[in-house]
Amino acid sequence: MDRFARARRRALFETLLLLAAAVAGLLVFPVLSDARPATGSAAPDFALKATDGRNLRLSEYRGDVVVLAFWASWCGPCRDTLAQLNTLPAAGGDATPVVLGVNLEGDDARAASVAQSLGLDFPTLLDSRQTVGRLYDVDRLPLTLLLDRDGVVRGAWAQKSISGEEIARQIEELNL
Amino acid sequence: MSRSRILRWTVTLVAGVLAGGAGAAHAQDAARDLPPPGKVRDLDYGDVLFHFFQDDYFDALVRLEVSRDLNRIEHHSAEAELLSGGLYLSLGLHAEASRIFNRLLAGPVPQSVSDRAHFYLARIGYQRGYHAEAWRSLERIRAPLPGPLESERRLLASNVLMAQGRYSEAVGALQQAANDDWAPYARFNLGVAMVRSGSAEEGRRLLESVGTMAAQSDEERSLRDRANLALGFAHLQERAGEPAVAALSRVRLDGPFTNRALLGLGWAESDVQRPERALVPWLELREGRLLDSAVQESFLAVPYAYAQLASNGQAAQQYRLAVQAYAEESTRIDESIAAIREGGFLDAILDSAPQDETVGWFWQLQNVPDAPHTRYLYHLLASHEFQEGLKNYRDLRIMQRNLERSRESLTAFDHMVEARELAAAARAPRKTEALASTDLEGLARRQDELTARVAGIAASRDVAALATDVERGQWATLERIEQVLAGLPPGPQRDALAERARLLRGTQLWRFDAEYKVRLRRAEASLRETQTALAEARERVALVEQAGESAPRDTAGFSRRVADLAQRVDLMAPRIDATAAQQQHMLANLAVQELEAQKRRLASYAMQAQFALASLYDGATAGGPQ
Amino acid sequence: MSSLIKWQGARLRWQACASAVLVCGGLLLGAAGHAADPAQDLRSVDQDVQTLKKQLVDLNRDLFRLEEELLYPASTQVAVFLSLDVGTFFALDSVTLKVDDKEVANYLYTDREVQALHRGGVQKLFLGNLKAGEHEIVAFFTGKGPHDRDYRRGTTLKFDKAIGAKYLELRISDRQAALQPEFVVRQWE
Repeated sequence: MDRFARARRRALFETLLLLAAAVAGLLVFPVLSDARPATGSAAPDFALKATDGRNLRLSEYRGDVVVLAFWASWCGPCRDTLAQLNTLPAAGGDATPVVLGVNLEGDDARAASVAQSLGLDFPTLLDSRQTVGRLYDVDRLPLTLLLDRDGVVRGAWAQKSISGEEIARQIEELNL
Repeated sequence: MSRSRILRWTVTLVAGVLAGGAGAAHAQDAARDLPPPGKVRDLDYGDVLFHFFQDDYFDALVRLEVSRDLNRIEHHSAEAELLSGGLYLSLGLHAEASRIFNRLLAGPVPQSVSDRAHFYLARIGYQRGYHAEAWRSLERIRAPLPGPLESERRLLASNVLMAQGRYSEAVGALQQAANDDWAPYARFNLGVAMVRSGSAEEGRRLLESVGTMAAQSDEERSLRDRANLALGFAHLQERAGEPAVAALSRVRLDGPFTNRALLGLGWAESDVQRPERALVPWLELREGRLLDSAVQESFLAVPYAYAQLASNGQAAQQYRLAVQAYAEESTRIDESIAAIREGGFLDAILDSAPQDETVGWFWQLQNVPDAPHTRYLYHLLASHEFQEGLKNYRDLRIMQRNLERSRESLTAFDHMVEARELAAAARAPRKTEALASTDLEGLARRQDELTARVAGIAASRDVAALATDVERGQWATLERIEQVLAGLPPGPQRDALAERARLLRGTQLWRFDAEYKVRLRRAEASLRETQTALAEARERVALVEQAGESAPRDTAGFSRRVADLAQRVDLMAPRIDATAAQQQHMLANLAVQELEAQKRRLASYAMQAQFALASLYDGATAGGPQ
Repeated sequence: MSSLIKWQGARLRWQACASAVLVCGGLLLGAAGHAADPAQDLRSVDQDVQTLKKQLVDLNRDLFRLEEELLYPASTQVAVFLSLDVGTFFALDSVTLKVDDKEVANYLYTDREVQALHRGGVQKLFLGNLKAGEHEIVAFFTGKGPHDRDYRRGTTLKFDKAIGAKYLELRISDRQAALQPEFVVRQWE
């Protein structure tokens, strides 16, 4: 075989290899970008200070459906999600979920002012030391989690904003 | 038959509400006589209280049981026992709670504790329907109970008297409890009971007092409505139209009893021959949802009124409307029955109620979603039996989740034990080495020698023995000097030197003597220290040896415990599932029975409408009203 | 009006009254007449539920014990508790705890937890393992006292860990200096 053919063959082989790697990467990538905790497992408990000075603990909301929204002020889609959650329609069975916003910036003043400018009706928790961010392994924002009345994660939306309707629909479908 | 049955169920229902509604409060009561803050002497008991005060009853109970098992709550044993009884009661384990209270009473306990134990036993007895037993327990209470418990005792006493039919005594008991929060509820119960038992006038008086009371909360307003409704119908029974109207008009226009009040108002007007005024509430009522039985009746009541007004044409039309409406509703009931038979309706109800694990064993469903399988459940849910069954079902589901978590924990423990075994095996060679190099016996021997020497010194006051090296050197020098002296010929030179040597020796001795006490003390102190250190070292070696021997035993022990617990989990899981299925089946049956009864009633109404229609036609053909 | 209708009316009306009050009482005619069996079934299910619940309590108790013995054996166990003993309400906000210069607890207190502490509850703040010998704990608390004043106080304790479980109680008390909450540390067994 002349060396051109060999070279072409090798090029083709290498291209295939690259393609395979890319495909494998694509397959692996969604798995990697899924934040813990996984759907179906218990949401780790934590307590944080809210912008109004109160300390709030996640486990004290057992018995309510909870929406946990992780955000930062520089994340545009996060602000969209927050705005949506602010006007969450009451889901079926007149069970309005509790919404808790968790700001991961470490800059309490900015978080508070953004929350105020958005006119948020729900508590904004300040993860100043980023302990909760690490606990929940949040590596990409936005991250929105839906918890059932036992504190188990039943829905997760990572890296995209989410509408109020979609959350309400999930709540209804899951019969929470 | 129906009237007495009705009223009896009312009593039971409200009594059930009262007793059961205080379910979560049971545990709180048990803690009413707790040591004030700062006086908790066993920290583990304080830990139990920390969870208990946050209404984590299950958590509190588990910690309490653990601490008692490990004898960590010795200073609060009677209180802890009482609290555990209260906690078991809150979780619905009345049999276990009874056992605990009875056991408490069997031993020597202070009167305050025994009084409260009797009180809880009386309450349990009453809820289980063992009224005579409940009364006996109440009689054993010697002194007024602490705080709010005393008013609860009064309530319980009046309830038990009522349940036993001792109405006049109950009235007396209620008079004493006039200022208690519970008094209006008890007055209502008693009023209804007396109306049915023949003391109608007294009963009506009681109902009137509740019906005209000032109400602060929604609960109280509901009670007031209920009282006015019962009063209104009691008046209707006596055909006293005006008082009936007065009472029924006090019922709220937007509450759960509005419909029934409207129905009653219509009858009151109809009673005093004012059918045109009866039509007003009845027509309004008829606009309501047909699943409400009062509304169902209005479909017959309206044409009845028209007939009374001699508008036969209208009456006939309305009767035909009624027949149609009943048929449609019957079809809807069929749909509901089918949905229930298919399953899943229980979960739909449950999921619309808060699933708070911390709420006690009694809770009432307030909001029922309006779907085919839930339409009629408002009536069903008023049934004590159904509520109990629903509570059981919900508890079983919570238990399943707890079991799941336990299973996960056990898996983790299993891994931990395995890791431990590996670690112990790795450490074993190092441990034997360490043990080998510690010559405890040699050390002990030296310690003994030293102790003996110091004792000897102390005994003989051998001051020189405690001299420092420098001093010893000086002493040696002195001795040499004296030796030299001895070899010197007698004379003034020798005398001067001897004198100096004598002085030096005297000074040294004097110094030794002075230092002796201090040095002896120091020597003894350091001996004590080394003695302690030796003892500790001995202890540690023993522990290490023990650990070396027991490590395999410990890990074997842990492995066994983990396996044992895993087996228990495996045994419990199917039993919970089976019981849950059984309960669901029973509830479905109850629901279907209820709905079929509804259908039967609708059918009977439809039949009455048909008869009435037939009569109207007969009247028409026979020519004019008679 | 025909007598039939009158009779019908009367019967209807009686039934209406009856069922209306029945409904008022909350039960329907049909459901009232239950056979003995369903009641019996309910009782037996009830008993089963109670038995299972008790078994579950026992299971959880044994699990709790196992966990503690596995993770914190008595020979190395150290437990630090937190309690309140104040005359006026103190809104405790946070407590940090360091053992041998390592932060082991940083707890934020919710309203519910503060209430529980005020009523006499004692929080198990930290459970851990320490080797025998001398150790040091450093603790700080923050909170709002009377007149909305902010407080931040600390304490240090050197203690000796012998062979056996060690309990330490951090008590926030205002008994020493009136209205001034301070840390008071106690060692147990």
